[in-house]
Parts: sequence; structure tokens; C-alpha cells
Amino acid sequence: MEKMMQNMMKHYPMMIGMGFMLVVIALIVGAFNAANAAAYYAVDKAVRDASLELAQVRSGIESTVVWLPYFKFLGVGMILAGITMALGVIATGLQKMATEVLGKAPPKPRSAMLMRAWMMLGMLVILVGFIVSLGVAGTASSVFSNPIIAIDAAESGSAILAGLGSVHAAASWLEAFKFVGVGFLFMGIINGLASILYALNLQRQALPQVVQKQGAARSTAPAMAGD
Amino acid sequence: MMEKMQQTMMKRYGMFAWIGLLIVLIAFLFSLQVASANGDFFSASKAAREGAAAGSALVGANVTRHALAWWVPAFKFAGLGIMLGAITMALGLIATTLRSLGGDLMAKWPAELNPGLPEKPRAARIFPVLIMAGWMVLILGLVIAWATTGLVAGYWDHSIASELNQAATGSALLQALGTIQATGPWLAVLRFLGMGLLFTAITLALTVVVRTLQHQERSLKRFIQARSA
Repeated sequence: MEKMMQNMMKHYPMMIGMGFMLVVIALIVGAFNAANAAAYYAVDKAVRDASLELAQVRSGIESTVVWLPYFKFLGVGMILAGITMALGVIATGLQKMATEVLGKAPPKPRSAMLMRAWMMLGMLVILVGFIVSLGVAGTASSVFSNPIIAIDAAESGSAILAGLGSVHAAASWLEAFKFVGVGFLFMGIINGLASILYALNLQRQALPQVVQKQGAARSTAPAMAGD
Repeated sequence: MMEKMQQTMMKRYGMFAWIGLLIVLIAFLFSLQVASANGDFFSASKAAREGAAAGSALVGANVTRHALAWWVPAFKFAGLGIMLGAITMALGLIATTLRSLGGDLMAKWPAELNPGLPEKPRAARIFPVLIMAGWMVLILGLVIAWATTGLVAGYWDHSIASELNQAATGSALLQALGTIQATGPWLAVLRFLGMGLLFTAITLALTVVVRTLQHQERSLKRFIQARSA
């Protein structure tokens, strides 16, 4: 399991590349959505509000507005996870170096384990947010495929208002939820840095011991040669 | 004195990270309240929403969804900012540890080969100032958001159809709306200015780490050359 984790950590450039790609795709989709919105709002309000055909355009715009930010944050999350993985690789390298110098493996810090746990938790939160946003985008699409006059005239308890309520409610908590994911990923980075600090402090403590050992080896070498 | 205080504070990066995460989680709890208010408000028909009188449950829900959505983003960003500050502190601590490690190692070299510790790079003095500046900007934004929440709540605590939409030019209601619309965008800019300062602090802290490693590499090369000569 440990070995698998360490192997996975080494793939951090791929993770960062994939995250960057998602952000670029989000930018392209956002640009298309902006063009759609510009075309939609170029029509006068009376026609916009009554047209069933334009309602389909609006349905696309509104549903994209719902899911796109979470898709973008999935990309940002992957980049942050990639940074955490890179820190993990550095910490593992330092740990290996310490093992070679000391001749025995030093104890692993708790932060090394926590780093992975926070990273995975953060990615999970962002992924769940994205999946939920896809569901909400479906609801938004069905609500806004009705002309605005139909939405405005909807009675309490109708399917349209139930959908509209759930879209607005989900948008509010999803917005904060993705930042919880980012917060967890930041905790992963902080634990990664703590692991590096631990390894460096370990080297600092082991330094006198290593120098002493080398000095002893050097002083015995001429004596042995003299024998 | 100042240097010592900074070092002590930097060692507490874990505590700052937890405080930041706690703030982000509290912000999430408030967002659930906004979600509930949004659900209540939009479950009523448009006519009922707009016609509801001040003091009614619908107007109450409208006040909650606007007032909380006004200050919660500033609060959430303050939490994230504190976490970014903690990351910068950990990087600063790594740079300090690398410097001490290099110092300890070079102390074992013969005096004529020991180049001594270099002067602290300027970036090392600037990044703690940037953390503080970033935090101050984010806290300022939060304080302004809290201070103006009353205005937002007061504005939305009216009937949309009979009071807000009927407000005449120069009325207190329209003045309040003007202030809210004018304050919102620059509060958002203030949040990103704070985050920008913190990201710059991270970049500078990374520069210090890189410079420290470069200095150690140069010293080690000089040492090996001198020994082999």
C-alpha cells in the first residue's frame, strides 16, 4: 500500500497537467457560454421572456453557469493535489537520504500520513461537489427551458418553483462546499511541508553523529593500513 | 527582538492552519443557512415573493439570504488567507532550517574553507510583511462587510413590490441600494488583493528556499575544489 502510494506520488506532473487541462477546457466552455449569453441578451426583453425557443438557449446558459465553476475547481483541486504529491516526493527523498546516511530508517512522521489523507479528502469533496452540480445543472436546465413568463407565473408547490428553489439552495451551499475542499487541500500542502521540515530537522540532529562516525572511520583507516 | 518574535510565530503555522480551516468550515455552515433561506424564498410564487410585507416569513428569508451572502464570502476568504499564511510560515521555517543545517555543516569545515553564513536575503525580510499585509487587507474587508451588513439587511427588510420597487429618487431606500451596489464590487477586489499579497508572500518564501539551496550548493562546490586542490 505504502509502495503504491509512493509510486502514485511520483505522477504529480501528470496530475498538474490534467488539472491545467480541465481549467483550460473550463475557459473554452465559459467563452462559448458567454457568446450564447451575449446572443440571448441581444434580443429585447419582451421576446426573450415569451419565446420558447430562446428559453432553450437560456436553459443551456443557466445549466452551464451551475456546473462550470465546479468543473474549474476540479482542475484547480488537481493542481493543488499535484503540489501536495510533489511535496510528498521531496519528503520521501529526504527520508531515503536519512536512511542511507544513518543506516536505519528513521521514524515516519504523522504528517506524512495526514498529508495524503487531507489531499484525498479534499479531492473527494471537490469531486462530490462537481457530481452534485451536474445534477443541479439538470434541474436548472429543465426549469429554465420554460419561458420566463411561465416561470414568473408558476404557483407555489409547482414543479417549476420546486426546481427553482432547489437550484438556488444548492448553488449557495455548493459555493462554500468547494472552498471546504480547497481548505482540505491546503491542509494537505501544510502537512507535506511539515514532513519536509521533520526530515530536515532529523538531518540536523543526525549531523554530529554522522560527522563523528566519519571521523572515527578516518582515524582507524591509517592504523589499519599501518598494521 | 522582532526577528525572534517572527521565528516564534512561524513555528505556530499548524495552529494558524487549523484556525483557517475552522473558519472555512464555519462559513460552510452559514452557507447551509443561506441555502435554506433560498429554498424557502423561491418555493413561493413570484407574486407572493414580491408582494410579501415587511415582517413576513418570506421577507425574513430574503433578508437572511442577502445579509449572509454579503459577509460570508469575506469570512471564508479570511479563513483561506490564514491557511495561505500558514503555508508561507512553513516555507519560511524550511528556509530557516536549511540555513541552520548549512551553518552546522560548515562549522565542521576547516576555518579557511568555511565561507560563513551569508546575509539574510531581502526576500526573507519582505515575506513576513506581506503575510501581515494580506491578512490586514482580508480582515479589513471582513470588518467592512460586517459593518455594512446592517444596511443590506435593512434594505431587504421591505416589501419588494410596494416599497423597494416604488422607492423615489433621493429616498433612503435608493441611497442604501446605491451604497450596497457600490460597495459589493470593491469588497470583492479587496478579497483578491489580500489573496494576491499572500500568494506573493509564498513566492518570496520559495525564492528564499531556492537561494539558500543555491548558496549551499556553491559553498559545497568551493569546498570540494579547495579540498581536491
